Parts: sequence; structure tokens; C-alpha cells
Amino acid sequence: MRSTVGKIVGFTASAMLMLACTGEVGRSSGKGSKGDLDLGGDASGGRNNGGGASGSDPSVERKAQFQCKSGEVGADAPLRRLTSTQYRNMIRDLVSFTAKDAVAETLSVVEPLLAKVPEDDSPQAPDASMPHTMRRLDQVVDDLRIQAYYDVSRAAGDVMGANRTKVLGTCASDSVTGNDTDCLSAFITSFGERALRRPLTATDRGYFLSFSAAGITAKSVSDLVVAILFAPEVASQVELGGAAVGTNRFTLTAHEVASRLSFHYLQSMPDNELWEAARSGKILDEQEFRRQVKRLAGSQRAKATFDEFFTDYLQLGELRSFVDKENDVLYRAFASRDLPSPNLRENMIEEALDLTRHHLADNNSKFSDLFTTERSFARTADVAKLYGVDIWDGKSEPPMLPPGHRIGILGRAAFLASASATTNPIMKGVKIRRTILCDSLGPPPPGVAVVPIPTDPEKSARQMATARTEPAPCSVCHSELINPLGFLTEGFDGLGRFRSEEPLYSNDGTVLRTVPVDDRAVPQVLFGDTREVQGLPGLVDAILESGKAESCFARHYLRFAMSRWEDDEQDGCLLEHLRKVAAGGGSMREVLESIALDSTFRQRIVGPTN
Amino acid sequence: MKLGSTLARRHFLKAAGGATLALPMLPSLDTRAFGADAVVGKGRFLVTYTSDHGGILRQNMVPPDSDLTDKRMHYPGHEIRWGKLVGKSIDGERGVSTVLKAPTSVLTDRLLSRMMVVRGLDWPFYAGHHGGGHLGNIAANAGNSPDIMNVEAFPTIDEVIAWSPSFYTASELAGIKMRNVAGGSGGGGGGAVRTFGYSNPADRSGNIVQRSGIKSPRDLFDQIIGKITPTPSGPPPAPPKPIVDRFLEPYKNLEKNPRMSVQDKSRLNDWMARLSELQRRLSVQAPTLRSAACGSVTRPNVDGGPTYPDWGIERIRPWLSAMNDVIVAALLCGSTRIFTFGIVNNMSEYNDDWHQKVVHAGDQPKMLPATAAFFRHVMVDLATKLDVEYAPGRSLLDEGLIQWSQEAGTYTHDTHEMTMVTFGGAGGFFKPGVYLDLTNRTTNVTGKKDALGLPEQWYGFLYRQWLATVLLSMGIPSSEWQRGGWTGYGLQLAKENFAKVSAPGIVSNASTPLPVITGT
Repeated sequence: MRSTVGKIVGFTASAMLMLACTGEVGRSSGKGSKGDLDLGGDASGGRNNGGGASGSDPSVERKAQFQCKSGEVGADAPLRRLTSTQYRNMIRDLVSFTAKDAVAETLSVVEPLLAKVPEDDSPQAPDASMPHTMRRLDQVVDDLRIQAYYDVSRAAGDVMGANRTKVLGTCASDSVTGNDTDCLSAFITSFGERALRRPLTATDRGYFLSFSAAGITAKSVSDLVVAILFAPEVASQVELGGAAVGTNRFTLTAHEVASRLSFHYLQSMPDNELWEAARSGKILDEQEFRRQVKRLAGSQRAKATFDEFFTDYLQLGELRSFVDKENDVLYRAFASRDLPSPNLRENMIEEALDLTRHHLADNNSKFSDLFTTERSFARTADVAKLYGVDIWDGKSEPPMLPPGHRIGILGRAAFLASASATTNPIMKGVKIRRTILCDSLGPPPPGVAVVPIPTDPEKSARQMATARTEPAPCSVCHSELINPLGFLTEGFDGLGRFRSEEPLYSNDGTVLRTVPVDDRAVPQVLFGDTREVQGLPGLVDAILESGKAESCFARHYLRFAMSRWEDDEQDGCLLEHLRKVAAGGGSMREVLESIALDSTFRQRIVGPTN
Repeated sequence: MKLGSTLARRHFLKAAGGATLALPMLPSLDTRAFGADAVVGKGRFLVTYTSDHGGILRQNMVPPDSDLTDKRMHYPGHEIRWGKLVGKSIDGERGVSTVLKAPTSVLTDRLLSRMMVVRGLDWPFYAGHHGGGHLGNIAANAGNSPDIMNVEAFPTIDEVIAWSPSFYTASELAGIKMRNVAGGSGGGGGGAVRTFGYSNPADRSGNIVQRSGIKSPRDLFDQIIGKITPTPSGPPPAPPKPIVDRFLEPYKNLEKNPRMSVQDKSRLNDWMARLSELQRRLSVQAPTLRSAACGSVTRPNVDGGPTYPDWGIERIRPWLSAMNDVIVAALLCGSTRIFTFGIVNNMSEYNDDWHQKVVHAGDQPKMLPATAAFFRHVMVDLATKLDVEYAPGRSLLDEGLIQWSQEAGTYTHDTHEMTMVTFGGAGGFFKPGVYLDLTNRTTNVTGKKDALGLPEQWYGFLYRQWLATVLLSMGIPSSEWQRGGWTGYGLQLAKENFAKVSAPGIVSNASTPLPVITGT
């Protein structure tokens, strides 16, 4: 075990995410983001492979393509811990698989304890100027988590021990003791293999049997269940691999392949069909593997997986709450007939996710369609009203949006709304630059953000943003790289409603005057591109023309799938593979399947073993 | 002073404002509980509350200069000043500044004599937003400053204390359910956690990672106190037989596997160290076996906690009050002695973009009531609840330290001229009742006036000296946390013109207790 004294460890756990110039600093939702990043190749979970941009550099453009150097692959996360979602799903599935007639009793006891497993929290990027978005990157193992694992294991054990006849069969309670070993062995085989997700060794069997050396009692069965559920393979993805294919690289075994696939797409242990493919070794057959990838990616469970991905990728959780806005006289005047319902925030997020779900379900839908769709996916009256469309029933063809303005994912209320009577073009610009384009924005010059600039009700949101950021040190980034991206979305107000004019309110809600919206700007999606465009459609055209959305998506998806940060050098081939699929016109489903179909998905790449 | 009535009625009910606040203990609390072997007699305790932003102008944050009745040239060219904290009538309440005030019946002379205000603590560089600087890990920041991008990370002082053999003795650990509590409001399940520690804290090895936190007062109560069992007669039963070690074999087998990389093994070791700590925790006796007072605490009704950006005093106060109740209960039960809470929600009725439109606009009229509410409903509430006499002239509050730090000083994003507000004496280590101003008024050291048109700011002492002082106050010798050539605790970085203008001794003495408040 090595000391970290003197070692540089980059990490940010602030509740804040910010990029600032004068008085305009962003903050995430206040969550205690967490991380475990290592700038020196240490082992506690995270890795610093943030794409090569130094945090102290000024803004850095991420290119639209990657360089694939033959043979290079980024190292896998060491002893990857299951996410909290994966852990909970796996325990539920294990109980359902094992507890037989005691499933309901067991789950009723275990569920409240599963809720105590700490939530994952997206860690700060190695380059702190990048957004922290993916909860799957949280690899921290601490006392609260271990306690929760133990409590879950013990509770499941106690219930299953008390109900041992239901779980193990009558052999657990009959008067015959001579069948105890067989009784236990059968249970150990079925439960242990599914829990550890691999065949058991003789050592495993001996160890597990030792818990019932004195016979089958409630206590011994309970301890046996704990011993199984508390094994290191259960809460983490242990991959020891099969044949070596190079230095520190080896192929995964059939069971390991199945586990990787399953935890990626199902967020749980392999289902029965996948398990059988692992047991038989068929999963190592290319055709069968591809069939399983398609099956899993298209499964009902995968929908929740992709919901999590898109929520994190698009930072939908950052949307502010609209609660109690009716008490705000200014907001009431602004919202007028669209005063938010208590569920508006959740409905907006759901609408954005419905857009992604719809395109995933449509085999003809391409990655670019996420950005260009002109349909509404609002299934609630409040969001539909904001869009000026009928409610979608979730089954038929989604209704068309009013033409010419709102398109794609960037036009969703969840992406545009500010939960304020005014918009915040600066933060919208930051979000697009960093989340959609993956560019790195350098930090503001020291001290600039301490100067308070009061809000001026006589100025439009664009004018205020310009006033705040036009002093020399700020304008370097803001005038060219940040603000214009936000200005192009100023055709939508703080509720995400389309507008061509911006009313300016006094604090008592009186309209002081109305100014026309200026949504023309030079977005510089590609640094140095001085072409001016107009509105959200112009912005989307520029983004898609640049190819940066696809490469940025590739980064996000690699992080999600592999629970680690990308390394532009080492991961260039995989990133380029993902980018090409996204850019190549394949369906969204194919894009999300593509990472598993890359050969490296079935390999384990480790650091030094000595 | 007799304890029973004093404790139950005067202090606790007063803390609740006479309302029906859920109290952690019943009025029938047994006086005998506060014998020499009970409760906090075991040692000092630390409670830290952190809040975001800061940015309260000095004339609103700290007492007036006229209260600084004493002074001395502490270092050549660096005069420090101090004075007794004197309560004044402010806006119909009693306090020492615009934000450090509370109802007259609450902020008594007695409480003021246990309070400290220390002004003039600096992280001498630009930091922007940070979550970790409060307790010593300013590497945990929002990436706003090139000064502290990818700088060295430190365990926060609460973690240092929690894992120090100088704090919890082996015998006391037999009763400690959780070495340190990390929690807060906002965000995910655990709120805004400000605690960072080694991934393997027992060995002080591995990476610096953020702890998971607890947001729910009820969960916290369940985790660190749990079921209260009747006090048994006769000798206490033997602690439960350790069990976790029975489950270690697969870990040991895995560690031997040649396919495990160095990184895999290191991570596995971290994991196993946590199992060792789990085994210790599972062996902890039921709390009433050690403290009769603990038998009177009650499980709080408040579950969950505010999520960012929930706002408003009435949304947040009941949660904070319940959390304070659990702190008191945990101390009475001897379940832990360290608590850290990050509070990101503002106690204001303003329902809009607090971050951008209020704090970044320097809107003092909105910030002042929110900050005053924090002081009143967090700090004063807890101090009052802990101001319980267990011996003549000695209250629980005297045994520990409650500290409130803000993210920035006079101006948000700026970690100069920061103010620390505390209650308690840490077992006599501090001499509270003082307003201490450490700023050096001879130089406009930050030069902000010229650059940005801000009023002048002055350097004081290093924030890392405050952290060192707290470590020392908790009995943690510098040999446990000081590394070669370093002074104070935390990042050894000074930017701007600090080196040029700071007095000799500011850096070199940063590992020693701060003057005046420690009687030096």
C-alpha cells in the first residue's frame, strides 16, 4: 500500500461548477459532487485522462476527430465498483432469483436498506474546467457504503435464514442431516454463481460450506448469505480474464463478457438468457455476442439505463425548480397564464427524455435527429402549452412544433428554462460549449468575479450579459466563446417559450418596456469561424456542420460505459470508432450499441501487476 | 448550579423558542448522567458548519472597530487588535453585528462569553468557488482559479482528527459508532459534503476522496445512536463477537491473484480497510450502557433534508434544528465527537436565482437577513442547546468547538479577510468571548482598490493557521499532520503580493495556535 504524501491528487467536490467573468458564475445544483481522480495513475477509482487540456490553460477547443494509433487502448478502471443503481438492481434480481417463496418477505426487508446505499455523485473532471456529469464515474468506497452493503447483506441473510425451507427446500428442515451438505451445495451453486457471476471454485465452495459446518440453521444460512453477498465480486466488477493478448491486456472470460454487457445495458447482473450464453460459452461467439448486444440494448431495462445516460450527458438535473413561483409577483407577471405547476420541472425533463426515447425506439433515427427534430414530445398539458402544441399520447406520431424556431434537444424547455423571469444566456452558452461541444473553458482571471454588477431592469438579458462581460479580461472568453452560444437561444424565455420580443419588468411585475429579441451571433462552434448565424436553427446547423457534437458525444458515452475518464491518446481508436458511428448516419440504437461491439469491450486492460 | 432544571428547561426549551420543537432529550434528564465518566467528559468535540459564498461586507459581518479595545504589534509591522464581544441592540434584537444577532432572550451575555469572532484569515490566492477550503482541502474547488487548478489535495481536518490516535482512544472507540459525521443540505443523497479523506484513512494512504454524506437527521440518529436500550444492572455485557473478519477470505484470495494490477490491489486494500472499520463499528455497544443521559434522547421526526435550491427559513430551519438535536444527542450518548455539515441552501425568502442575481450582484439587502438567519437558527440554536451545565460553571459547550466558516470573505469568490464565528472553548483551549481582528491595516495588501475599484482589503493571518489551531485544540499534535517544511494545515501556496507585504512570522508560525483567543 503506498502513501500519497506529496502526491498530487486533483479533485473537486465543490457544490459548485462555475465559469465566470464579472458577476456571472455558474453553479451546479448544489450536489456534493465527488471524485476520486488521480493525476498520477493511482488506484482509487478515477483517472485523470481528461483529454489533454490543462486546467490552467485558456480555453481549449476539442477537435471534431480523434487520432487512432493502432494498438493503443486506455486502461480500464481498477476494480470497478458497481454504481448504486446497479447494486440495487442486482440485489433485487438476486433475491428474486434465489429466495423463491420468500422473495416478497426478503425484498420487503431489504428495500429500505437499499435506499440507504449512498447515491452516486458525478465527480469533477480531471480538467476542472470541464463539467462533471456522469454519476457512473463515482468510484468512491467509504464507510457509509460498506455499512450499507453489510446491512443489506445481513438483512437478506436473516430473512432467508428464517425462511430457509422456502429458500433451500425441505432438505433444510427435514430430520435427515445426511443431506445437509448436498442441500447447501445446491444452494451455494445456484446462488453463489449468480451472485459472483462466475463458476465457483473448490476454494469458494469450501469457504461457503464452512458457514454451515454445524448444520443448517437460521444463523448458518444467514451467515452463508452474507458471506456470498459480501464477497468482493458482488459489489464490484472483478475481471481476471482469460487469454492474454498483449502486455497487461487479456480477453475477458465468457462470464466476464456477460457481466460487462449486463451491467452496462441492464444495470444489473446477467439475466437468464445471457447467463446461459455465458455458461455455455456461446457469448464468445461473435454472432451470438452481437445478438445479445442488440437484445440487451433494445430491452425494457435498457431504457432506464439510457435515461440515466442522457440525463447526465445533457445535465438535465441542473434544471432549477419552479416551486412556489406563484408567490413571486414579478414571476407571476412574467409567467402569466403559464404559471408553473408543481411538477413542471419534472415534466420538462421527462419531455426531453421522451425525445431521446423516441429516437432510440425508431430504427431510422440518427444521432443528428436528436438535434433537429421538429416534433414535440410533451405528454403533459403544462409543457405542451409552453410549446403551443397538443399533448402527445406517447404512442402515435408526436405532433409537429410550430415551424421555424424550436428544434431538437437544445430547443427543449428542460434545456432552455431558467426558472426565472429572465434568461441566463451566459450559463446557456457555457453549457453548450462544455456539454455539447466538450470544449474546455479556461478559468476567469483571478479576482474578476468579485465585482458585483446589479441587475438593470432596463436592459435585456443579452444587454445585461454583455455589460457584465465586456470589460477586457472577461471579454476574451465571453464575447467570442460563451455569450454568443447563449444569445442564439434568446428566442426562448425563462420558461422555454418562444418569443420574438422580450418584456422588461420592474420588481413589481410592471412591464417597463418591450425590446425585440436579438438572436443573431457568431457562435464560433469551431474556434475562429466568424460566420454569423441566427437563432437556434442556425446554432444547430453550425454544431452539426462542425462534427463536434458527435465527438463530444463519444466522450460522454465512453465515460458512461467504462466508468472512467477518456484519454485522447490511449482511447483515440475507441473514441474515433464511436464518433464515426454517430456521424455515419446509423440509428441511435446502433450508436449506443457500438461501444460494446468494439473489440476492446471484451478485453481487460490493466496497469502494472507488479 | 443544579443541573436538572437548568438543562431541561432553561436551555433546551429556550433553544426551541418555547415552541414545540422536537427535542433530543426529555425534561426528566437525569442529573447523574453528567458525572465525570459520562458524556463529553470523554473529550473535546468539534462541530463545523459551512455556508456558501460569504460576501458579507465587513461592516455587516463583524463588530465595529470601536469594539477593538486592545492591540499589540504581534509581528514587526503587523498589529493585531481585539476586544470583548459586547452585545448591542440591533434591529430589535441583540448582537455584535448586523448578521451576528439573535433575539435578546437567546443571545445572552453568557452565550456571548462563549462566542468568538475572528476576522482576517486568508487563503492568499484567488480561489473562486470551493467546497473543500473550509476544512483544509482547497484542491476541491470549482475550477474557477488557475491558482489552484490541480493542486495537492489534503484530508480535511475533521478526517485528520477522526483517525488520530490522539483523539479517540482505543477504549473510547469501543463506543464510537461513527468517527465523524459528514452531511449537509442540497444535492444528492448526502447533501453538500465538505469532508475529504484518504481512500484508506486507517493507513493514511490512497487518494483523497470525498466522503458520502448523510442528509436526514433521522438517518443520522439511526446510524450513530440507533436503538436505545435500557441501562442494565450489573456489569455491561461483552461486546458482540467480531464477525466481519469471517468474510475476509475472498478478499485475501483475490489479492493474491496475479491478474490483479497494482491499482486493483491498492483499491482492494482500501476496501478491506473499510471492512476493518465496519467490524469495529459493529462491535460498538448500545449507547445507554455508557451514558444514562443517552437514555433520554429521542429519535427525530425529520427525515430527508432540503435539496438545492430549496430556500426559505421555514423550509430549512426545522431540518437544521433537528440536525442540531441529533448532534446534542450523539454527544450525550458518546456516539461520536466530530460533525461537519455543508449548507448550500440559503435561508431567505427570495425565490429566484440566488447565486447569480443576489450574491453575484452583491445584493446585501437580500444577503444580510439570510446570513443572520443562518447565525440565529444554526449557530445560536446549537450553542444554546449545548450550553448545558454538567458541573458548576462548566457546560457541554465549553468542552467543544462549533465553528461556522463561509466560502469567501468580504467579497464572494475572494478568500481574503475571511471571518470565523465560533462558540465553545474546546475544553479550555480557547478563551472565548472575544472579537479578534488579525488584519494588518498598514497596507492595502490585495491592491484590489486599484485593480477593480473595490474598497481596500487587508491581509491578516493564514487560514491554514486557523486549521492548525483547531487541530491543536482537539489535541492533535503537529507531528501527526505537519509535513516537512510546512506550516499550518493545508495548501502551502501564497500568491499575489502576499510574500512581499506579509510580516515575518506569518508563515513560519502558522502551525502555532492563533494569538489572543488561545490566551497567548
